[in-house]
Amino acid sequence: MRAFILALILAMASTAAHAQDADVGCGVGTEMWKGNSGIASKMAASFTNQMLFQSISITFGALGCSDGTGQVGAVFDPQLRNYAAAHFDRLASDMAEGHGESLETLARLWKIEDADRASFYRLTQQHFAQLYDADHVTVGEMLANLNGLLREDEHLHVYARS
Amino acid sequence: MRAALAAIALVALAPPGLAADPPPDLALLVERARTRSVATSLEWLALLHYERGILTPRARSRARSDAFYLSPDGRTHPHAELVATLAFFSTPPPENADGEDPRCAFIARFHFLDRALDLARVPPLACPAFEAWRRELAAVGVTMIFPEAFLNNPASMFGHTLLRLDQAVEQETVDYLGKTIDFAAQTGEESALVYIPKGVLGIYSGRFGLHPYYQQLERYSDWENRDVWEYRLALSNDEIERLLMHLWELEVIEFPYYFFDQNCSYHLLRLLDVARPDLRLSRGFPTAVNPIDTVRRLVRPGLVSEVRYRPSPLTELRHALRHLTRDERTLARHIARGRRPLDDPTLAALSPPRRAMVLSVAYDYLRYAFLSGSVAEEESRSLSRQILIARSRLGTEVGQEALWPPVPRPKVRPDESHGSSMLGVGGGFENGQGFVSLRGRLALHDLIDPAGGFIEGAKISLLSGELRYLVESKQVRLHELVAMEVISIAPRDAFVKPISWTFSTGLRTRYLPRDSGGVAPKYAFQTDGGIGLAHGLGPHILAYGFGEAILQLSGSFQNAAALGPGARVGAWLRVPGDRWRGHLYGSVARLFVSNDATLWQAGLSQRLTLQRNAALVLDASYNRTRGEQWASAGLGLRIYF
Repeated sequence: MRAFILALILAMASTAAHAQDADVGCGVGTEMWKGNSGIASKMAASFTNQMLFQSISITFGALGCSDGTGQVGAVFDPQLRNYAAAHFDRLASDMAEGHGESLETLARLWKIEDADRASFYRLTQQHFAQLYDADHVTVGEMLANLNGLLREDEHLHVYARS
Repeated sequence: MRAALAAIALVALAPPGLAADPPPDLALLVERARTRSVATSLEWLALLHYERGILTPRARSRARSDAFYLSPDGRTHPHAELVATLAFFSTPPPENADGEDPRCAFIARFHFLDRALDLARVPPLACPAFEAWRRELAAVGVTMIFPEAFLNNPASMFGHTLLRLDQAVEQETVDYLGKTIDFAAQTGEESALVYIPKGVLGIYSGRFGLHPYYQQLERYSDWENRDVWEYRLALSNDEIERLLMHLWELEVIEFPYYFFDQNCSYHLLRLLDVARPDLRLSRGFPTAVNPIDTVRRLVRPGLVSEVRYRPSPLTELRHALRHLTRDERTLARHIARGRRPLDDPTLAALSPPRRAMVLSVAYDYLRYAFLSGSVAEEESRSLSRQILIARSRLGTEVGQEALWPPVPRPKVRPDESHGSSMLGVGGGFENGQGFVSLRGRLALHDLIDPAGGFIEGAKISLLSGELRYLVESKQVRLHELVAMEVISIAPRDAFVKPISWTFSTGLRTRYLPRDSGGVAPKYAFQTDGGIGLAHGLGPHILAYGFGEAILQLSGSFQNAAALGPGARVGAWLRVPGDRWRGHLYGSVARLFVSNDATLWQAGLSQRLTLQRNAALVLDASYNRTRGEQWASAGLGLRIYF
């Protein structure tokens, strides 16, 4: 009986919990291709089920990321900024490819009209190297670069935020 | 505390002369509630999380926090709680420190009672904090999210569920922007050996939480590479409103967390009960609540309007690889590993579309390697950017369209898989003796069972047993009772190299030495574990090999224990459509200490699917130990439910 319980526990150790990341990784300072803290726990988590997991009690009031500070961020509304920060990796690959759900959502949040989406995707793809102009580019910098590109485009300049 | 405050308020604010009696309006409301049987209505019982159990035939609320109850008897008396709630609403205590009407903490109850009884004479309720929260959520729909199992952990087959509050931007739902509701145990930083028994015994409390959907995707999809299924629910705006109000009420309320039955999935169904009480979704789970079973409950006409499949990065990568030639795959891998530069002539020699595909796959593979920890951050950062820059430069030639078709949705959804429990009946012969067999399994899935809706190569079996009636000796015998068995056969390829493993523990029938010589079937409590490798041979064959350690405890050994190494090899044979499956296997075990013997076995199992929840299984094996040999074969019908 004891052996059975021990075996059960040992086997269920594979259904262990892991502490959820408090680091939500939002804000204009978020860097590109940044691993979250606790990669070891993520590795452990990759062998576990998530059925028991600790929830950092986020009060219902704090739904998004906390607002970043910095003049760059002031131009864009929090939702756009937080979205871009949270999807930084996926946005980059979508932009390089010229299509994707993350990119489409960004276009939507930026209020790009349906008719102009194709031009928007072409723009971000063509000028990818300018958008992500450094290995340690941040979300704020990328958005500022994007805004600059829009401003200089003959059709899409209407979407540039001032 | 609130009840005391209400009582004080009642006495303090009641006009003189009526200090002892409740205000006439309140009495009216209470009487109205009585005539309309509000206290026993489905809505009221759902709002208060009342439930009748086997041990508690009287309705008892599950909420653990005292703050949930306005009456000292609120936990067990829905009517007392109703009266106390009405009293609280009728003469509210002064505002909280943050300027909020204290009644806002019971906003769902307020609106329900207003609908049921008409609270027109009660001081009106304004909850700006709730309104602001609700506006920010901008929920236009509710979707149940089910992350599937992931490679190499069969326990994850039990899955997990979340409820997403869908958000729309300009009339169109944008999945990424939703917020998910989950219910989680507050476990703290304890080790597995502590929180597993605690979780099973319900020592933990759990709370509802709200997190952005993208965070959940990051965890389940990116980090754990689980495919995610999204079941969009057809709830009306009013129902969504009710759900949100109730969620607001539960912000700080705790419920017991029981790993098996009152777990995350169960509590989410209780939330949906508040939205649609007449469905009684959370009722009638006999033993445990398996998350996929909660999803099955929702898949009724009218409740699930749409199902979306969201493949994980690993699934996407595997799919993309199928569209590359072998040389292109190798090239992509080398680029991702930094072994070939981006100006490599082999890459330049490809046509622009092929070049673009190789670069895309290289990036995906690099990202996967980074997320699974096999590549360092700094190393991958620079290379990632370079690969994407190179890829983007091909845009003028290949455009902005997808270069290969999207990942096809699996034909069988997780909710369409076979039932979680199994009963089997059949017969056969062993060592010349005929038998009739009765099988049962509590949960969940064996490699021989119909595979639709499950991930391939994963077995988890909890409490599985077989009873046999031996025809000649007219005896009924427990053939085996296996507490747990887990197998993960994960094929390796050039890109992903998992280790396969097995574990089992339980009571088995083994042919053990007899005092009078020879061997006879006896009981042994066996625990074994193994590590191995698996490889796909073409699309239809999965070959594997394991090395194992076996421990046997039996009354027939002198020292009561035998242990030793073993080895297992085999091949699983599949056909498209999974109508049939075969398993060719062989094993050898060499036990020492007490039972000095070598045990050989070779066999073939086959399964023919009859229906989603019915299958025929045929097994034949040849066994040999201590100079004795025998054959056994069996045919059984398995019903899943």
